[in-house]
Amino acid sequence: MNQEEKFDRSIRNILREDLVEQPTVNFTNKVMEHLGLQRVQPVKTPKPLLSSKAKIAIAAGYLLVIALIILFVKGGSATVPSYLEIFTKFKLPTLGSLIQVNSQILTMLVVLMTGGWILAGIDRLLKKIILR
Amino acid sequence: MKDELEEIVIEKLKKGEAHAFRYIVDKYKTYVFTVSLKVLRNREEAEESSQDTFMKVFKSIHDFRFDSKFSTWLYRIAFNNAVARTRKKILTTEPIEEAETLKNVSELTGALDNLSREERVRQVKKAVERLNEEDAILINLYYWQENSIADVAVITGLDENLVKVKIHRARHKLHKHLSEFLGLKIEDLL
Repeated sequence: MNQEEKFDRSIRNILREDLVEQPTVNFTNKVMEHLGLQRVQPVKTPKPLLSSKAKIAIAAGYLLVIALIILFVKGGSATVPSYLEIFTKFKLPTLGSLIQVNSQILTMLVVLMTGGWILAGIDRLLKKIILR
Repeated sequence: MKDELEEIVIEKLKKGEAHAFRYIVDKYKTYVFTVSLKVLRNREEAEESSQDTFMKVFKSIHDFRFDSKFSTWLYRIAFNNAVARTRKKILTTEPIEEAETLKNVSELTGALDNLSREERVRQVKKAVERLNEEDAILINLYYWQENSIADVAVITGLDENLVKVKIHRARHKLHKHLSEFLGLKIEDLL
């Protein structure tokens, strides 16, 4: 090996890795983008807002509300009269007739509203717990 | 060494399977960027030039006939692209008188070996930086990636003999600068 070859080999060994410069990290993507060849990112399916268990719980809540409404409409409770009973009693429920039985109707409405409000509260609470 | 996977990718590109180009960009981006940076000496410009290079390579891949190494063909495009951006003639073609042969290389390499790796690299890079632009480019191309004189000639578009002479002279200057940095007596070496 002559002097020049010896020198070249030595310098090459020293500079082998250190001459290489790195472009920015996303260089390949930039080039592919410029060529219109960027890989299409898979569309992420959004996570369902509620799990199936929560959905079942909410559905059960709504069924309960419907059941309560049916109960009130059809009667069957000693203390709370059926709305149908009131309706039949007074034939056409005029404003006056309704006012006459306002206490009973109001009781029924308050019970329904409170029930609905409690169920809505439970619904919201369940969503919060599940989403946490 | 023959890269069979690279050949398959190039064939795929020629058949129109454009997404295979990602392999080429990933494989050569550092080298194309390095060549561009050596010429342009500015990272942003070098990156833009590298992007242009890959665009050109993609568009002209059908012209590549496997007559030469793909890397050499690619570096030539990168080099020409970078030189075109400088809007000046980087390499001159006038003949240069051949310098005398190197002497006492063992002392110099011995002195380099006594340094830590970081210090050794720092000293050599400092010596390369002291070379003029043309010499620095040729030396960088030559000492990098096992490029031969013939490869450097293809990349730069210069005559092979001229490259040989220029590298010979640049090597001599590099030797001189390194000797100075390492505190060796030049008169003893040359």
